[in-house]
Amino acid sequence: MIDIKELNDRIQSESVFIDVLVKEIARVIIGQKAMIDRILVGLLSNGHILIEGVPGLAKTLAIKTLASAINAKFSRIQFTPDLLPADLTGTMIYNQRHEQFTVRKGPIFANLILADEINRAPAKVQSALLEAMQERQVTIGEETFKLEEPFLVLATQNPIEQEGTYPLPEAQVDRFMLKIVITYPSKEEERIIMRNNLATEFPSVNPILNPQDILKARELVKDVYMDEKIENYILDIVFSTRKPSEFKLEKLQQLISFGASPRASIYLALASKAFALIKRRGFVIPEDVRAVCHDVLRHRIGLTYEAEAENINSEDIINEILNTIEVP
Amino acid sequence: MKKIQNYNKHRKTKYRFIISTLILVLFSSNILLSLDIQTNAKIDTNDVLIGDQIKLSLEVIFPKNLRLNFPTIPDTIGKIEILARTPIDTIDSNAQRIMRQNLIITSFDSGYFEIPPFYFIYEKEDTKELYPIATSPLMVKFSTIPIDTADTIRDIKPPLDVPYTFEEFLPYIIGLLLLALTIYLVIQFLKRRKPKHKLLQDYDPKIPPHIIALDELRKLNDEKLWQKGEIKLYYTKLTDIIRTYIERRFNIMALEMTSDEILYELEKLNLDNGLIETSRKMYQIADLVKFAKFLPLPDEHSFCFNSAVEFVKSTIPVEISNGNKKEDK
Repeated sequence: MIDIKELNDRIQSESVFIDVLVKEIARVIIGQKAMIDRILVGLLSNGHILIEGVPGLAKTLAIKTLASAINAKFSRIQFTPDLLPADLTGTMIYNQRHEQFTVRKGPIFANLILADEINRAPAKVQSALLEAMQERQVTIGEETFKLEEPFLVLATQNPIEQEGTYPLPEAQVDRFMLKIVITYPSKEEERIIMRNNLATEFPSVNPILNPQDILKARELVKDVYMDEKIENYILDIVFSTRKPSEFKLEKLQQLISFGASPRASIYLALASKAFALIKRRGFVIPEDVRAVCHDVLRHRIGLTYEAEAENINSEDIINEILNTIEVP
Repeated sequence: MKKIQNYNKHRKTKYRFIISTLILVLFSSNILLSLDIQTNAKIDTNDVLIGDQIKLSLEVIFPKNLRLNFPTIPDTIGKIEILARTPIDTIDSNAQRIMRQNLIITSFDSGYFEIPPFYFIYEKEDTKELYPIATSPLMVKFSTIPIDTADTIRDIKPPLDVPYTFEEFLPYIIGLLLLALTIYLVIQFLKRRKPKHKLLQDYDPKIPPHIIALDELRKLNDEKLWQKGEIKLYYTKLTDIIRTYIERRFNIMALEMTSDEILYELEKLNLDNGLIETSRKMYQIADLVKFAKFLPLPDEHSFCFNSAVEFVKSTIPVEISNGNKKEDK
């Protein structure tokens, strides 16, 4: 029998670091609160994140700041059409002095990876990254190397300039736990950004955690209590993307070509727990599910030609689902 | 001897009778033994009702080497009308040829009418001269329906009842089967649909939402769920009653909203701040019970129940005394 009160108290006391971490990041990243929360969700629930947004919205800065704050190793890989898998994972270099091959590890051997403009690299490079994301290990030559934990990949996609890109296939997009869409900051936020950049000294973050703290926090996420009512709510949401007519959503039947996979249920539950922890709660409430629902589902729902012709996107579909499925 | 004389006398008389009978038969049936041409016209009856149809058969039998023209019969013969006719049928048999034609005739006048002789023209082989040969004339009686003047005038008879056939019933049977199939499919579809929320199922829009909500709250109180240890069920029902009430009363989709979203929507309605705060506390306790196995104290159960009742009572639409229109609180 779980003592939720005790669990809640424990989580409240042990999750203090989250508020501190968020405040520290906020010294450098102005606005983008939702993005920071989602990156923390990914970090705490061991899931990778796909970020979509126009250039200049502090995607790189956010991940770099987070890496500094948790004292983690950070790598930024700019994906280009001529990139090779070995440029990512590493390769064997022949050492003439010792007359033997030695391993040179690639930039993927870091805690936080920013795969910038992932859709600009060909499929074989994308596959190499996605395989490493899934397996959490890399094989160079005949030797297999475990990737360091925490291992978080943030891949970015630019919604504009689609010429000459290699869009990620649905099966590979499904491996990202969250897909975050970021928008421009508000006028007030942009004023502060402008002032900070014009100041003689740009704010910097202090390392307040270490990677081991993140691993402990991940254990804490697993302890967050999720009631059966919330589980049913998650299942209703995911199943409604597959069989809308069974959930009084007949109008969506013609708009969805394929529904969310079982990964959606797993990640929605996991992300809800992580979000509850970020809110320093020991149990999940429907608000947590709804908060991360768009980020978990938006890249997992296939739209039909009719939906595209009607200019309906997955956001509209998810909104309709959330407005129809009864909250427990 | 006398006996023999009587016998011879009797024999002679017998021969005379046979010969005279044969001559009579030959002449009456237009059998011309010298040319071997036989004509015949006959009808199936000669006493019919006006408008009834009779079959008239014409036949001629003649040697094959003889040229003979069948008579051309017009559409009417006096008061007799030809309704239909078959093509002339020619049959060759040894040295003879038979030509036949059947006609359907009628008359719409009553009385005795003669069917005149029909003339067949043939050509003599040696002299190449044309000669007619005719059929016998025929008499037909077309009678009218006898009218009984003593009888009263009767109404027109109704249409006859013709017995129904299976083909006539078939479209109706198919229609009924299709209707039954449609009803079956609709029932199956409705069964498979997710049932509506229990509280929304039997909602009579004529009853004000607050009456329904207060009634539901009273029933919930009578069930004594939390006293029986069914605390989670108690709070689920309590919040469902209030959310359903909000949906009906304020047209807010509260059943599909989280507690925070409901409170946010209520704040926009400019309700009393104290009411919002007690509602917030009630929702917090309910969420803890529903999602975090929280066990409230008896005082908290009473607080939540009273808050729900207070919320409903405080949001009942009130009437303005100096006007007839209703105004929301």
